[in-house]
Amino acid sequence: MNFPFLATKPTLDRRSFLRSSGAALALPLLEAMTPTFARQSGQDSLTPKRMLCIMTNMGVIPRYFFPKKVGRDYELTPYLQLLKAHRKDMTVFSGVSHPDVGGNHSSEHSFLSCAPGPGLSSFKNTISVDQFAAEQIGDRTRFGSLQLLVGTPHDGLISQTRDGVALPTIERPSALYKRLFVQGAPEEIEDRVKELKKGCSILDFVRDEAKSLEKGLNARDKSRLDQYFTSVRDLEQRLVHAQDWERKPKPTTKVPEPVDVVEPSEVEAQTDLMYDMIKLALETDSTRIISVYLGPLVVVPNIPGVEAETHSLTHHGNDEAKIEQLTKIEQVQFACLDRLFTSLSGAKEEGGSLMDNTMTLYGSNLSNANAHDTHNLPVILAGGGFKHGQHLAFDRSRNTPLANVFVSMLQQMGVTADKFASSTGTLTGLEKA
Amino acid sequence: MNLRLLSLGLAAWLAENLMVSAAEMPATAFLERYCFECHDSDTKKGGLDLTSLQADFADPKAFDAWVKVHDRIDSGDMPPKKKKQRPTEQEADQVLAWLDTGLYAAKAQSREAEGRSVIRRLTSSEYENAVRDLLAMPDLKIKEMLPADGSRGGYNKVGEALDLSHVQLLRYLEAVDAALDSAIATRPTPPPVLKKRIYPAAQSNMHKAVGTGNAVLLQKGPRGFEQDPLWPAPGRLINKAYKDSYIESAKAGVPESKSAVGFFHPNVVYLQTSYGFAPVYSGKYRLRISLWSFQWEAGKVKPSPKTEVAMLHVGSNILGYFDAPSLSPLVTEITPWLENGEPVMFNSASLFLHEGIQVRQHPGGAAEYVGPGISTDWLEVEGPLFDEWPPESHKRLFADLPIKNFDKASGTTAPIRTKLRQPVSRSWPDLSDLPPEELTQPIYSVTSDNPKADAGRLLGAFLPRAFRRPVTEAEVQQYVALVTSRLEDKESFEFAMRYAYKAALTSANFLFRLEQPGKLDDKALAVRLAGWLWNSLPDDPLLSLALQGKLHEPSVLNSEVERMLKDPKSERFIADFLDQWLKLKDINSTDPDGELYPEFHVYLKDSMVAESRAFLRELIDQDLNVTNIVASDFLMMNERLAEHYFFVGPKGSKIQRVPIGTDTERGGFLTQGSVMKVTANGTVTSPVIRGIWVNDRILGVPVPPPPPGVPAIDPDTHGATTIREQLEKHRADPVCAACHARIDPTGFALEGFDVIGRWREAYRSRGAGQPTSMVYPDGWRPKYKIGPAVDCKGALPDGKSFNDIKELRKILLADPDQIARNFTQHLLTYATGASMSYVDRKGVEKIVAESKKQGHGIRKLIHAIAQSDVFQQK
Repeated sequence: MNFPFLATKPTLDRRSFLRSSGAALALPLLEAMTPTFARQSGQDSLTPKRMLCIMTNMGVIPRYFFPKKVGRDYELTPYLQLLKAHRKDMTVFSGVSHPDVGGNHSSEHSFLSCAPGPGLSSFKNTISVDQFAAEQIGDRTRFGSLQLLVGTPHDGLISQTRDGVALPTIERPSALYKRLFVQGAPEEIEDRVKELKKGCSILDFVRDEAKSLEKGLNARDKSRLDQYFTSVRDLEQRLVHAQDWERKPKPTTKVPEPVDVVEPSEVEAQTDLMYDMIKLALETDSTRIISVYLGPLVVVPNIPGVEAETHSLTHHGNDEAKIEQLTKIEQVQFACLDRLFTSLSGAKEEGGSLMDNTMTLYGSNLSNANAHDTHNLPVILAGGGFKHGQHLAFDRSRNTPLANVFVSMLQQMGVTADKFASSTGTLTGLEKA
Repeated sequence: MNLRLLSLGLAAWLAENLMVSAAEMPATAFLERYCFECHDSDTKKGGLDLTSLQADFADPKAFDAWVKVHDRIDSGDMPPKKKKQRPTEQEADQVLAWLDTGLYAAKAQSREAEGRSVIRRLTSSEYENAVRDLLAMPDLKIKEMLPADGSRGGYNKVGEALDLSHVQLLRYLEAVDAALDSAIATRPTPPPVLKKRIYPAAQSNMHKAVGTGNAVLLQKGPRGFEQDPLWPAPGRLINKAYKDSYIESAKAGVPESKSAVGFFHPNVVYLQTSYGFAPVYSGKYRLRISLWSFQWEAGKVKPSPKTEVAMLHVGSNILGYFDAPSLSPLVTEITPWLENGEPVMFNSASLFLHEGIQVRQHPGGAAEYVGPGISTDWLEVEGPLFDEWPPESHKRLFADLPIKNFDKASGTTAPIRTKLRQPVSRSWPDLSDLPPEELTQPIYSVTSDNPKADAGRLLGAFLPRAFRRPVTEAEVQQYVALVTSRLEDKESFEFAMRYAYKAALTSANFLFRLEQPGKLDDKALAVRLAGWLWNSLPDDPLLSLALQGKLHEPSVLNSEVERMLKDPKSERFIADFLDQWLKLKDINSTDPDGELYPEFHVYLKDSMVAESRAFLRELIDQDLNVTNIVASDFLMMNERLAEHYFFVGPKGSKIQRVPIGTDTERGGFLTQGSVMKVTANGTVTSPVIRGIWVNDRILGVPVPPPPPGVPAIDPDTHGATTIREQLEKHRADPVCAACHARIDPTGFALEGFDVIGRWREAYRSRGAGQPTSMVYPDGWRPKYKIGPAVDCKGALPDGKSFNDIKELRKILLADPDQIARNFTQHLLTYATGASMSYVDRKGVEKIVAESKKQGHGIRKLIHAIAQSDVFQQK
């Protein structure tokens, strides 16, 4: 008998944890629930504006993306060529980035929050723009916001709470579909409401109990314990909100439940399927705020001519053969985006199309990933009732804060915001239609 | 010019704090004479304007700035050496003393009122370990269910980084549910133990590999191992022949064969090999596997030149690596915890699949192939195994209350049970392999005739352990009230109790480490020790010493630290500390480029991490000198690492101590493969990243972040330019030069190690260069070229120059105190959960002096830290 050398780092599949027995709270996407108390007095217009933020985490090869000509008659670069059908519905930016956001791949944590110094030891994230909007208008829909992921499960994505805690994502389109459309049987609903109520009373209990710990704490320590009280209150409000929505009927759709694409290499099919679900979620007003993380990290995508995984291709070392393969992957990403725009444009609703009422921000936290460059980010804004059709170019060496685009977006959807993070105002040249 | 303001600021501050008159201030005149030329509001060299820097040490930003001023004057870096007008030693000392007093005085008050550290919640790995220890479930995995922790200075233990939000709280509730599901027995008798020997050829995917020529059927003949005539290795097979061959092999009876199966490739996505076992019941299983290796020579089984290594895994969770000695079957046993429904996979981990070309696609196929192979005879499975029933985990929650048939007529809600289900198709056991009564199990549950009293008794035992302190009867009764409220709501006793346990494990009493300013009391000391050396909670003996008020006694503390280091739970500290100190948690964040580094695979990576952990274990166990961090005359290696590092000796996967002398580039953490990997990006190395790592993690010289707007280096693997040439351009900019003179040299010394920590004389290239002479045992030649030569030369900022890592090492070894100082600071940050501040320096110096007196042994250093004021103060 002999004993083996044991594995050093058993990393567990996230999915294998999702099998806890029925005793779990089985809650419907609690993180996405927004407390009712945050309700604003503002009236809903008939056709609400939506915000869709999509980030690909592996950069975009700058020379195939950025046009040289500025303004309305910019030339179509190889990637923009793929979006040419939507030229009048979108704006291409250059010379925008987040000030003081470096940190290589860690910059993804700041893509929607603009928090300075990701990757530094003292980094502390702040609220992301989607959650900022959800705090104000999230209570109007079943899901205050949705956080989605296409790709490999991965820590620390792009949507964060006010405390800078990353929100978990939904990875399977079928799971998203179920949450959007599948209503449980009445007794299941009552069971869930009962579970939610039990959750609330546990929270009541632990809050009361923790009060005795406050005594004698100095201000610095007390502020840490206060986070506990805030967390309890926030979760409780979400549980109450979830109970409210649990009994309301879910919308119906003619689209059948999707079959997930489980093969990790099928990134194109996975992206398309998730984009289809996004359209359904927006169309049925199940949510107005969605963030999507496209992370084609450690798989070799099934794209003809591509032989290596995306991340290693981005470290191409300026090797043309590798760049060619990377281009194929990025082309697929833009082709998927083109199909999303087409389907949003095809969905008519009062006051135009779903495209007209949905601001889609598409971009990456890196420009040239080979250099891990976090300046001059590739960003497109489409739809949502802006005057589009142009290339808005800003200084390539002294970039304009991307947060200015965020402020324009927030204001467009009726969220009160003069400023967001590193913004210096709204984005010059981006006007309401 | 803000000089007047500065003087006013200083004067006001001093008048209030130090009671000296403005005339006695040494700083203003000093700064004016030696510093303002460069650091005034006009020039602001290095972004520092001393004229506007207020002497308000209570302001954290000003405090940090003055610490930097202090350190630059102290080190002699400032004023710059080339300046004609330089302060005398006495002048400098006077200013330094003044700054030192001021800096200490500013912190004294807050230290007294608040302590060094802030109260904090458990980290996610502390939470997991705490629940494991509380429930006696060492294999429980719930950490991945919790959101990732923040970190400060690379340490997730630092209180300020450990935020809490509703997301965490919800995840705790879910994680506790998962833990309770695993812990609670839901039947009066243990599940039936099944035992079977599984033969590889009977498994559909292994049979397919044999049938199509990616693996061979082997048997023991009179003259040793040979091909099984039932299905000799076929020649090249493609497309239609592939399917035919598979069907024919089935007809020939391959699936019924008990012969061994020899593999030529590791498991990759399209060549998955499972051993066809997936448990119906979660629990511990005894797995015994028989393995050997061979060299395949076109149909002949020859001795293997080395011990190959296979692996068993479940998803991405690796159960273990197993040695396969040459032509001599070795049986290895493990007893992992396996979850219901997860198939056990087999992987010939140490073999290669070059460019994705399988053996069946080689010219001549398996019949003509020459290369290494791993053969497996069988896998024996026995389980689930429980030491006792109900298991200890259940007893911790329900003691010995009877588990009985649930009375449906009672009117209470039945406990929720998952149905017995077939894990995966075509796996063993099949539900039909179980005794028939297993398929129609009634619902069993813990019952109590006197629920209130039982709840009081059970919670009275559980809560003090969870809260690390005595718990009052009133507190217990609050939890009991929670249970009775559920019972009144017609919940079963089991679920009503679960409800209370859930509350306890999300309670602030459990989640927070509560400490009072000043010297820690014994209970807080016990919690801190356990958080440090076990990454968990105190056990009963430690807690009991604390409750008796004895723990702080030096001899008691000493023997407890000894006991804790000897306990296997200290492995958690070793792994978690190295993950953070050396950043080994990033080991998976890049996949080395397959074309440039074809020798990399998961087994090599796991061996590297195992090496670092075994090395720290050895330093602690043998109480070796701290200088071993940068230089050691031994390595902890297995056969794969020895091959990787160009040594001979070890056989198989087991890590062992190997003497290497002192005249080699290897030694210490400094040159370990794991470290070289986490400081590179998978394609190229960067002296900047490695230089920062060495300064920050080994030398204790923090490096400021780059100023904003600096263009990044665009790496190039054409073999045209080297990183040194690119960096030289960068350093030509004087703004960059100052810091890079400090950062880059140590990084250059490490340029001799590639992205996977292999020694290199020249860069590998995808473009220009000579073909490599490297040939794999199967005759495959890597495609990379041998590019420009590596140059490891450098000079430290103080002018000491070196030609390579060996010479750099000698320079570093000249100052063992600094190595000890840095290591102490990192250990203290980890152990106390507070970043190191200027005002901790005197405390650190005391520890370093004590360590020096004891000969700088690492185990003694750990003791010195445990006994120190810094550790024992909040």
